[in-house]
Amino acid sequence: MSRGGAVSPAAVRNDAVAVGLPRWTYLPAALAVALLVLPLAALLIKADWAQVPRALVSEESRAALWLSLKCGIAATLLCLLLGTPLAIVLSRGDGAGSRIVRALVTVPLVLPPMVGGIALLYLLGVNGLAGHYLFVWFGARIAFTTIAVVIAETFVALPFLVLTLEGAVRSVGSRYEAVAATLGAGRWTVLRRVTLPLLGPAIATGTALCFARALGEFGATALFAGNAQGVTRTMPLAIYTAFNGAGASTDAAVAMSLLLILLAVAILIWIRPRRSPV
Amino acid sequence: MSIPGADTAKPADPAGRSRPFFAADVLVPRGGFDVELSLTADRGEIIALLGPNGCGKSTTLRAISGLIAPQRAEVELAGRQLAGRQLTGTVTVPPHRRRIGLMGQDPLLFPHLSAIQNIEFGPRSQGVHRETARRTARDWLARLDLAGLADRLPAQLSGGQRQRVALARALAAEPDLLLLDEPLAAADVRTAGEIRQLLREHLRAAEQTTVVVTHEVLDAAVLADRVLVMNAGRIVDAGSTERMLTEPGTEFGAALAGLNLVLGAPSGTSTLRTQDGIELAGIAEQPLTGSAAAGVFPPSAVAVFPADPLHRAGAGSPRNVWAGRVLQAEQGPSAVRLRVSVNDSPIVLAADVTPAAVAALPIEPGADVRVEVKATQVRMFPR
Repeated sequence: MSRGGAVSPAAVRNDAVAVGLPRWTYLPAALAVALLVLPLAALLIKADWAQVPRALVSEESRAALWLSLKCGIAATLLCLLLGTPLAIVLSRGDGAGSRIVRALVTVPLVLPPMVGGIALLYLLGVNGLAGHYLFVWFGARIAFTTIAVVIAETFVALPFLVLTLEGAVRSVGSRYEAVAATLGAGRWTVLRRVTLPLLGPAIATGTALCFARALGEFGATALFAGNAQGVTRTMPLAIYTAFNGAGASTDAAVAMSLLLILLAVAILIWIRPRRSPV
Repeated sequence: MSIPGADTAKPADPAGRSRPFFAADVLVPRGGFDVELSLTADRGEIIALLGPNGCGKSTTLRAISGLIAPQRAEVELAGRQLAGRQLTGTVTVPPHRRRIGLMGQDPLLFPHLSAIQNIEFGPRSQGVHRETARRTARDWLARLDLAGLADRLPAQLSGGQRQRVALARALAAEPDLLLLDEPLAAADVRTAGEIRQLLREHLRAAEQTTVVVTHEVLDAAVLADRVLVMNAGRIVDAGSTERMLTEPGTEFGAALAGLNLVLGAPSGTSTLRTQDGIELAGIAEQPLTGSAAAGVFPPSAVAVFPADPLHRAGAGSPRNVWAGRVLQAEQGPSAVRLRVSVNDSPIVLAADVTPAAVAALPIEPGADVRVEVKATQVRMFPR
């Protein structure tokens, strides 16, 4: 039917039809999908579903889940509080300074999280650059506490928020802000009543991404915060521990993995309709 | 001055000499040329800044409103110095304290606020009480026929309605000076006519001092008391709207403006009668009302024929036919421009005729001719 130049249904619906692809491109594309989807499918199929509820209500699991949520929310709030102003400031700057800062902010995105954990230890560990003085002067220990979990999660999640927001600030542009100023609105009013509301959808997206990243954080947390149940053992750490045979069973690891998948999917669904352009 | 913020509001002229309500002198370097000009306006006066695209009109407005930092700027408005040199140093009042409104071709309504919230944004930002601001906004909605649309978001309004809300928002902020940057450039023909009419009514009614930037002669003809013609960053010609349209002082102004303008009193919904009893018919965007009207038409709409003794003025079927006399003929780039008096009245029309037509015409000064103007090309406005 589509041979001999007949118009395909897709062409009828859409005026712009992409130039046809060589057939062979579909093979690697299908492999890519398989690579991404099959492991999750295997997990869902092989899971011992009868054990899941029991595994999830075990004390070990509940402690990990609760700690993950607490730390994830705290890290996300911290990201919003620090990242939103940073994104706005970065979007205003075109100089070398802001280019350098932007590059530095992106580093944690490409850094292995383990390396981030080591770096955090070198700064805030008891023998660290700043941690030493915090300990000597105030007796404060940060590494291997719940606070360390929050800091590690913030460290890896913050770039997601900043980059999401900075793009949005640039596309919203300063034209609305200029109008607001000519109507007599001072800088604070412009920020509060124009800039931030216009960034609403991007803030929602950035927050969700940030939270998802914080929930899944493993490497930096493991090195900088350790793996103490109820204190620093978040879900990913609990899964790792359980899978290695210590603490809970493999069943618990699988059950918590399923829960994390569920959360991730829920977050993705929540983001989608908020992508509307301003 | 001990009041915070009051340092920006020193009287500009302690001696009390009469100063213009608004005076600006700006210099903004741009690629290719500098924008360097001076403007003044009296209270309630409407000034048109007319010029081709890219001549620096918008730059001028942005410099006056403080949205860009010019190399040099002296701005005085309503007795306050907004920018410029003082004994104590250079003053630069930030845009939000200048009381200068700016409205462009894009209405730029805040997309997350309803129509009424957009309108009350100005008063609220200036610290007006919530309820007072709401009353002001309702008042403006009613004045601009938007009463039923108060709670609509901008995305739910038509283009014309958005322009109305933008105008209401600009006026509700009660600026000392309103800058309009090509307010009609993005509107379709029908909306443009409607907005032009609204501007004409409400700017006058509010006695709003206004600078309107446009490349459309019609806007200047309908809205402005005074026209400044701008080219490549400089003002090249200036004068009353009437004079600028009918006898531009420069060739550039003539090429840009060069319209015929006939003033009179409405004698029908789309006709007017001049003091000398000449009847002009045209097309009116809105039926003519009131005591004054203007008809505007390009020289190309004026046809000139050899005087025909059999054809008495006004006797034939075409309207706008008069006996005329050639006063002057001038070779233009593509046509010959004649200046023709009509029915021995003081009214002088510019007419462009092709060189071919000239060959058949007696165009020496003093020659008698017959003048016809196509009614479909005459645009009529109340004034």
